Amino acid sequence: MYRCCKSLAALGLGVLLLGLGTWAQQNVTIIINQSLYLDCVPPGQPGNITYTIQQSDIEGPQPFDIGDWGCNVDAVTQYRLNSQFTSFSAPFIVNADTSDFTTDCDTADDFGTCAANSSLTLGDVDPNTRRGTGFNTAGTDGADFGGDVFLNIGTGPTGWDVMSSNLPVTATGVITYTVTDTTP
Amino acid sequence: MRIFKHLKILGLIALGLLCLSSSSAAQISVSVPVTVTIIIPRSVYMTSSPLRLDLEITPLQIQGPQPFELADWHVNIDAITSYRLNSTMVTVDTNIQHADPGDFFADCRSADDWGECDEHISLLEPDPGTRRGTGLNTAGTNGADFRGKLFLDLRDWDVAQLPGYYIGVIIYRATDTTP
Repeated sequence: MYRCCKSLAALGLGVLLLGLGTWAQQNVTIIINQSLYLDCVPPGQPGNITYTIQQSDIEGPQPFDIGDWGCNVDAVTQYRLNSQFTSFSAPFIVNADTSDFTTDCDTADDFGTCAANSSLTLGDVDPNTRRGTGFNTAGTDGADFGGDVFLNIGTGPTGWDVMSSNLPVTATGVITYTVTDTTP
Repeated sequence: MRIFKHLKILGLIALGLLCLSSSSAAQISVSVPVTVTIIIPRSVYMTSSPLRLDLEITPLQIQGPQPFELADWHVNIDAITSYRLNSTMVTVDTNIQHADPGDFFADCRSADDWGECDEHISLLEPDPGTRRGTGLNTAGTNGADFRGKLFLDLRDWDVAQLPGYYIGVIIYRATDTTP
């Protein structure tokens, strides 16, 4: 009702100005080409992870921490942040799989909130791969999400089994971080 | 009248397109790739104990059944692969005639954390006679502990000079058996 009265008043004012014969207008166009910006690589973020497995990692509790992750999100919309492996290769390690890797979200600021899910598995879906959610970050330095990546090399017959004739062996994968607009 | 009908249809299509574009806008996403590289420079770590055995033969051992129990052996293995454990012996020095590694034997009595004992007892090459056991990835454990006894059979020995001595080295080797 208030909005209707306001519109009528504006219309009346317009008609009055037209009647008086002096008026001007200024067109304002705001273009938003991109509503989400994501940065998960240096500078300012942990970026790529390179980890060498030592004896203490084999002896210690599983899973163990292999590195940090961090993403900065600038948004003019509400969103969710997901991450998961989108490629993986370990040609000389039997039983190595993306399900051996997990992650968490420890911190989120500027209207960002961490989610409790841990899956990084290739092919898994939201919400299992969701790291957090957030809102418009205008006026802030962007929502900083951060956490750790963990690896479980298994044990016994289902554990990683290295083909030692190819040492040193490597497992390489790409974790893709994605922010998705969740405006209803 | 027909014009109004067409306009109505066009309006509905426009509305539909508007809804479609707004729903696809809600699916807009931005992605960033981060590379993860895991390097495994070594797949087996092993320690053995005791590092040194100094033993003196007693009359009881000469009188008793052969071979007789000489000492314990123990190996701990941390592995990120499947493996087999062998032990072999070489002579370093001796002044006893006919004394050689063929007079020594080793059994395996216990193994844990995915390790399994083997029944062979020879310390002379080749495998599988020298095999003490096999094992798998030990991650999350304190490593596979293999334990057993070392035996000596003196029946061939001929001591010509006192003190008689035999110095040898037992080598423990873990070998990757990943197919």
